[in-house]
Amino acid sequence: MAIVTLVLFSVLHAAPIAIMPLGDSITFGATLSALEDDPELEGRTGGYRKHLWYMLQNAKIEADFVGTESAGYNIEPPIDPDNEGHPGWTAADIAGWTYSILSTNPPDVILLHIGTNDNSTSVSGVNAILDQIDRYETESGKKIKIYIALIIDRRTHDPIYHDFNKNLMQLVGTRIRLGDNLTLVDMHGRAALQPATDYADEIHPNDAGYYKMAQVWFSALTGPETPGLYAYPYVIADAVYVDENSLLVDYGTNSVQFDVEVPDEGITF
Amino acid sequence: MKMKQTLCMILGTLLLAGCGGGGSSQNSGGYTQTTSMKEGETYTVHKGDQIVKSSSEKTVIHVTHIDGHEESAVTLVSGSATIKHP
Repeated sequence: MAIVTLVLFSVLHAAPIAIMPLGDSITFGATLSALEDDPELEGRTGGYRKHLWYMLQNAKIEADFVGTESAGYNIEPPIDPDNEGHPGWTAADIAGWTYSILSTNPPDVILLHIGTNDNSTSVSGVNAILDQIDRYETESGKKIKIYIALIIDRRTHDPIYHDFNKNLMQLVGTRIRLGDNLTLVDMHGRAALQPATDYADEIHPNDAGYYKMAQVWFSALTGPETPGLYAYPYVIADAVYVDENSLLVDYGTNSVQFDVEVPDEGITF
Repeated sequence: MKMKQTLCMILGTLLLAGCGGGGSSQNSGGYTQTTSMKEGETYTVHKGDQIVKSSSEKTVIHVTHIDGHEESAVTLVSGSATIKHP
């Protein structure tokens, strides 16, 4: 079942797969907040995109990163520097531009890591982004596969991110149940960034941290297409019925288990 | 419950299902086959299967799902429920 999604896609499509890295400075690839506006450093800023590009190349998967931003154009060996990483932007900021962004560079796949700048447990901004993607799909007739990340923590644990991610699980599961083509990627848990070794500052990973993020994106892109373990409970039942305290994900067995109350209308698997 | 035990249970249930076991089955009109769940027993459900309450009492199930698999293992924790197979 390995390397299903993108390989199959690349076989069916003659053109490279258009992948849009979408998010804030973490997608842009910043390593130090203060240096985000330095044009020289911008050319060497690749973040997870650099490592993901190399991983895709090594796997012989033809990709085309798309976006109106460009960062990492001086990296050697060269990468595709195009992206939609917008330093400082919140999810609501992204939502306001999503339709325009998609119209300018229509992607086949979106990698979405957003919410770090929201400083809130609310995922209404993410919901608005997904609404705009739906709108674009409806109006253009183009289908987009969206990989959406449970966001990485700050170097110093911030409980807001934990609650944001919890709300994101419910949002993504619910939207999948209603028909959206989403995969929830546990960037927080699978990348498992270490405060002492994987951060450049309080918010941004260093190169080692970005490498770990790239590994998680690559696994998601090349693995079987699934809702994602943390979204699964909310795909089969509304959040009000899921006992979140019982939710247990085990990456050793790649499984999730949980208790759920059966609603009057039943549960359909 | 330890994960290895859970996975063994899933595999066991799959074997039982493959042999026609895993619960009592009967036709209940149309093309729907149903299985009455027993408390503490584990069943395999496939994509499209539905679990409904058999009475108005609160019913809780425990679900174990392996990423990328079509089926899940479901245990009736409390209450009463029926699995409907399309």
